[in-house]
Amino acid sequence: MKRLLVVTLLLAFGLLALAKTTITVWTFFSGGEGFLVTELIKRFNAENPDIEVIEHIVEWGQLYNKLTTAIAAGDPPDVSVMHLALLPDFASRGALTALDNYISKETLQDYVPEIAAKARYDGKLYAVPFDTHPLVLYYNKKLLKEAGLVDAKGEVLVPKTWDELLSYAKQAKEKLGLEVGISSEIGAMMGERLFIAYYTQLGGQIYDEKTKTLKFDLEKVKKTYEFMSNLYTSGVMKPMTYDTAESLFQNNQSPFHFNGVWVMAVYPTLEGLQFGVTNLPAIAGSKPYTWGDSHTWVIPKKPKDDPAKIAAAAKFIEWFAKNAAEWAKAGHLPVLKSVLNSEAFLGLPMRKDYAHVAEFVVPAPSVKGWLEVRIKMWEIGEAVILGKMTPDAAAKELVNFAKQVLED
Amino acid sequence: MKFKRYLLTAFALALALVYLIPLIWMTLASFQSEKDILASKWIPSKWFVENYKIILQRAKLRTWFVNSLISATGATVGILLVCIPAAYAVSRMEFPGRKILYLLSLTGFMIPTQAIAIPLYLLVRKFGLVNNLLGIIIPALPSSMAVFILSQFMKAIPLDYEEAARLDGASELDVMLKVILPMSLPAVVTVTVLHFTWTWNDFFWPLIVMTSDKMYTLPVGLVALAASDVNIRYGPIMAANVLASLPVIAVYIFLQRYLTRGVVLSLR
Amino acid sequence: MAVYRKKKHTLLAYLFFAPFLVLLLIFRLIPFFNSIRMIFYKWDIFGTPKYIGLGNFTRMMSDKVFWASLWHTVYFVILTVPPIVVLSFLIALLINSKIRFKDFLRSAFYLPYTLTISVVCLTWTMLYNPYFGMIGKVMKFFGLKPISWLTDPFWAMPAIVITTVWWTIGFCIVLYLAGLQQIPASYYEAAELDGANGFQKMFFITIPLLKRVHVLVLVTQIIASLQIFGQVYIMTAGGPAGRTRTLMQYIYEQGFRYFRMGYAQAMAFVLFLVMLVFAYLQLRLMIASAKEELV
Repeated sequence: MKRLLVVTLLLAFGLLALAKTTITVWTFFSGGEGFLVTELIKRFNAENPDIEVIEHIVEWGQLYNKLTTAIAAGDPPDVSVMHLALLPDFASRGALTALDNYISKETLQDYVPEIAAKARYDGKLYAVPFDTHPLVLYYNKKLLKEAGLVDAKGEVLVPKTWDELLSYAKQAKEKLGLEVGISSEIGAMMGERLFIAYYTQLGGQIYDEKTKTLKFDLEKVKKTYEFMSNLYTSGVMKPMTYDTAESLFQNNQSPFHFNGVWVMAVYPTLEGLQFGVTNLPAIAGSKPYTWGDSHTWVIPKKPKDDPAKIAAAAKFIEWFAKNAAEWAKAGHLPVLKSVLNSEAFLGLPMRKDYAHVAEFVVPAPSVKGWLEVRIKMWEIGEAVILGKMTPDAAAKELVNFAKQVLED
Repeated sequence: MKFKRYLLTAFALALALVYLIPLIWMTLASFQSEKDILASKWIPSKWFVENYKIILQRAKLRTWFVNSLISATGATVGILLVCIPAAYAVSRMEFPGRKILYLLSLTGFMIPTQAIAIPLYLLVRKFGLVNNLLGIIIPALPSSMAVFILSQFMKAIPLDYEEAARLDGASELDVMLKVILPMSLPAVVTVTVLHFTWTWNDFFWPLIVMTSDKMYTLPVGLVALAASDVNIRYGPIMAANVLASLPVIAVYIFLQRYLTRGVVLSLR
Repeated sequence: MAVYRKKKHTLLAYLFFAPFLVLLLIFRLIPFFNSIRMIFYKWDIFGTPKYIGLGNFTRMMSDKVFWASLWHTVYFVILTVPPIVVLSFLIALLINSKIRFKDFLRSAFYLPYTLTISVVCLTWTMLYNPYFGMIGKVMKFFGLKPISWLTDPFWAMPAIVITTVWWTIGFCIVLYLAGLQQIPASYYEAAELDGANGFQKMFFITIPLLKRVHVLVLVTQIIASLQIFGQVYIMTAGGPAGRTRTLMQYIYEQGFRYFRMGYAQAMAFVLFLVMLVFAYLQLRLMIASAKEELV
């Protein structure tokens, strides 16, 4: 009798084990972000005994390369992280599973509208976004005070316009004998992110609604490059790598700093750094538009759909989006209204100082080819900054390249 | 004369010291806090062992090391297993088509893997060897360099040894394994050292073939680590560099005599 | 009896050669023929390849980035190979002269070569940092303005070159040392009897007798330098402003990031043709020296 019981139990456990759906997930998160994701996955697994999510960490610079080959070869992961800006590159190739039937109406209605729109391609839902991460301005309170950049009450002056930023940065740099007035990475940060922010503030558009393609305004591109070039020729900025830009700011050697909100996972924990965070300055008469992208989950297309697996994967990604308050500890802004207004999010340090930036986020255009165009933008931006290309030539190069990629 | 000798020695030692500064700095920096490193200090103001703790906790150094070790050892052993009989056949046996096969075995020299990276990758993919150490090991096996070095060496061994063994009734396999192979040991060592180093140091191929961080080899893992984890910049990265280098340096010190001899041989 | 033995012998020989041959076919020759076919197609890895004749080559002709990458590769070879040959020869001479601690010195100069490329590049990247790096500190000490090596369009390539030379020189030193040890001492003694001075000995004995080593070092280093990838990928990713993008880096971007498989393979074919010349030289050299050995 006892033996029979044991056998039955074993069988039951065996069946349970069989019934468990395993979901492989590719992420590129490491460091603080990585811990948060791993922790959330652990929680999901504990709450859902019938599903086991297994995380594979792929290097940030490699994920899209590997994902493309994996999808082409027919053995992609069940779920992958993907930047919203790159969604069209994959969706246009039929590489993703449409999620309209798998994500609940309540969740979809809870999204910030602009983000929800970008998660669609050709009218179908392909991604479940779980944050937005705009470019913002950081300022070093200690340095600005030392440079005398304070108002009557002794509060640090926060620049509202680009002219203010430039003059404050210059003043602090000269007064304190610093290497730079603003520290920033030269490639993506300037060539893509700051470019989009300034270009949009000039009234420029990257996406043409009529033709549904990429389209730059030559004159405004040129003006943007002139502005970028001036930041460097005036001596306020110097070309540097991402690491260097962060280190200079963290160690009180740069009064201002351009970076994404993701550094909010680390900066508040640093001893000896008194800093503030705010929206980018604005051109007079414009709103402080800024570049922003979102992390999303997608379900890559397999040669043969397995509805049970897709359902389990969809359950996981919807759960993750709903629990994004935890993820917001990494500095990112939530994209579900319920999370954005939650105690859990607003209680995080300094979030009130930059939560409003979400209103001014300009997402990348929803066009195929952005994957390549944006990297070309980093390169052209560098050429302008380093004085190897005139703003005029650079503007023509960018417009031409965008055309070429679209035709290819 | 003696004075000149001392002077030269001193100069050579000084030059070597300057030459090794990057390594010395790497080691010193691995014991520095971020503050020290950013202040460009040579000697740590306080010996900061945290870096090593952080890197051992956070990174999969041990996994990457084991992956590197398995792929380099696997490739080297496999190359010996495949190339020794091939080299023996073309250098010590007479059969129709020997010359053509010999020339064919050298075509690998003309086709570097980087030049065929894309079709090779697609092939490896088809075999299901992506994100698998075998994806590094198996494509490395047909090494023209190994066949060349081994066959040249075997060719030079006088026939007398072989004939003596044959008179005692040794089979072809016996001759290869018990007569020729032991006498070719220096060539075997050369092949071993060269291919182990090449596979250990290769960056391009593992970067392309490996997908998840659990399967990275050391070179790819270290770069991924430095590129993506903002919390472990500078000191911990240098600590990872030191940890990644120590075993190789130890093996080198142990094997250096053989290695020099091996290099001398490959020169011939 | 003899016939039987011979037959068995032949079969056995094929058997011995077979594993190598099969692997060679599958992992070198078949991909090679596939690569030749690929260069006439346009294929983005999804869907079916489309035949476009010489389309990939006409694209190449008008692709500024391709020409720049080709030039950067050649530029890298020009900057890297001569210092490697000269410096490794000089250091080998120094170690080979009548000094003490020979073993230690040889090991010291060989040590960097034992390190993996990532360790080397990550360490040098830090050393090059214009704000915190040690090179900048030393330059400041001598009253110079630190260079921002890896983000400077002019200095980025020399920075990669310096790192490469530092990393690889040890291997060439060992080659030269081996060559030097093979020169019989009697040559020098005879020359001394004839009243030759140090320079004459160097130019009439040492350098000519090491001809084979010079050529070997030259050819192997040219082949290795033409394929440069890792240092660029790790230290600059081809930047700043594409100034250090080499052919292999460009092939990698086009093939494994943008998936223009045919185009990338067509460029790889160009690299293959350039390398073929040197690979052929190397092979000739090795066969020639092997023949000499047998005499």
